[in-house]
Amino acid sequence: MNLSISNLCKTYGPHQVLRNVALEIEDGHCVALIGPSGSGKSTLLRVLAGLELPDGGDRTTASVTWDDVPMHFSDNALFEYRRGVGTVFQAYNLFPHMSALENIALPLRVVHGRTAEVARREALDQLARLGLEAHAAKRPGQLSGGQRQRVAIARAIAARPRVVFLDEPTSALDPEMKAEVLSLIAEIKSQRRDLILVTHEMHFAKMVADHMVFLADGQILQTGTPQQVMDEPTHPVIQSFFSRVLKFA
Amino acid sequence: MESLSRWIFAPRDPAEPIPFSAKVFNVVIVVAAVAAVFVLAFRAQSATLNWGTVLEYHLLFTTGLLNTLILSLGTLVLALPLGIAGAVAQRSRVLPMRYAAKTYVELIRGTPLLAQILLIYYVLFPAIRLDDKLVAGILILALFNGAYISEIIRGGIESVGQTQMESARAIGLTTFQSYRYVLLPQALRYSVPSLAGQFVSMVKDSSLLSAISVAELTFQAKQASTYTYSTFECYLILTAGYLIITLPLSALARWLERSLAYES
Repeated sequence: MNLSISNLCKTYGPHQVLRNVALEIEDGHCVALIGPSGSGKSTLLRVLAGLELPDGGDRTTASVTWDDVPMHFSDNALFEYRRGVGTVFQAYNLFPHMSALENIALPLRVVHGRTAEVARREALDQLARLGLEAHAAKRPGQLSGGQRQRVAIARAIAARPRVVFLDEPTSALDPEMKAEVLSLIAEIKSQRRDLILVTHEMHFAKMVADHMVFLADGQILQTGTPQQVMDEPTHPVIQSFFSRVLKFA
Repeated sequence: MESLSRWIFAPRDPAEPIPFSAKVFNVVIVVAAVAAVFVLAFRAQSATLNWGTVLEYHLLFTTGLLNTLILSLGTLVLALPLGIAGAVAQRSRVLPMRYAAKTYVELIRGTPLLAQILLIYYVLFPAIRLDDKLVAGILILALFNGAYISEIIRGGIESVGQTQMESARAIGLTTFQSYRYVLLPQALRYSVPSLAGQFVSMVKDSSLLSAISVAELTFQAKQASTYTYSTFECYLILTAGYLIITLPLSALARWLERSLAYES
């Protein structure tokens, strides 16, 4: 993907969360958004995922283009847009009253127009590809946190979205489950599916991402390969951030 | 001693079922105590019960029970969708809809049912030439209960986590689909205990329709008591009649609650 952002601002009440964000990414397949808490990285991801309007709404001066196609920030346009992308949140993605299979089949059927039978089969295939077929009939409450996130990822990629957004997908998990979810993310990345993720797992980001974007206080401080950002930080804030988070890692 | 304590104390483990014999034992004791109070009270007034003449009017009671049942079922069928619509409208971004729903709820909840029955039946319905009493009764009760149910459902929707709505949007569901597949199924599950209470009240509230001479159970019991002068007997039968409807309703609600349960 080629992603180009300019002039992007987002304000919640008195807080300006994103200040004039501008970003150019060429030929990115896995973009990691990192930075301290409250830096605006999740908000940036949510705007890109079509879940949040930038300041100004449909009259915004912000511009976001994917492969030269601009995003339109109106409710209707974003609704269409969300059908073509996948999003995974930190937790509680799945609908607790449906089985894992139904969770995946529902959007295939009611959003993407598959018949019930085809949706079911595709959902089963998807679960099988990710090694989750044993859990097809279970409800989220019967799955471990890691299994839930894997099913959520399966749902997000089932309709073959252009790009998948992952908002701190492992932050609510214990270490063992983190590992199973991270290896799944690495696997779908290797299937040439474009990913944009917010994460605190620096080693993982370094391993899978081809682009790393460092945000602090609503602004992008550095963009580059993970090696560039982590090993040659251009800003003292980035340097002190890594010295803190990697201290015990 | 061992078995006596099993009849009096629930098992320490809350998951372990209470033995059937213990349930029967306790229910019998409670019912016997209530019956004893009434028998003693009747004795104190040296009143005697005279069932003979009352039972001659059994047809009055059975039609009354049947009509109360029809009223209750009809109301339930109309009030639930009305309540769901009211709850969704109250959360709508379309302000005329939101305020129409809020006004409806406040007007109905803030005024006595008896006043609503009289006003609607004598002012509104003649204007649209509606004179079938059973239909009128169902419509009034549905309007009344719809307001309460919409508040129950709204509470249920609000207890569904914010991320559920977010996930529904993220996978591309429309607002209607989000309600249909994600919010309402969960909200209804949360609401089952409160809804059951509302439905039980609804059955009993239908007795106020006797004010406009709907031939429901209370109206019929009043009729029977004026014919027979056996007021106590008629009201005892009336009490039993309502229990015949409300007890299975409560049991149904408990069963629904259990069968809809899942770990969230």
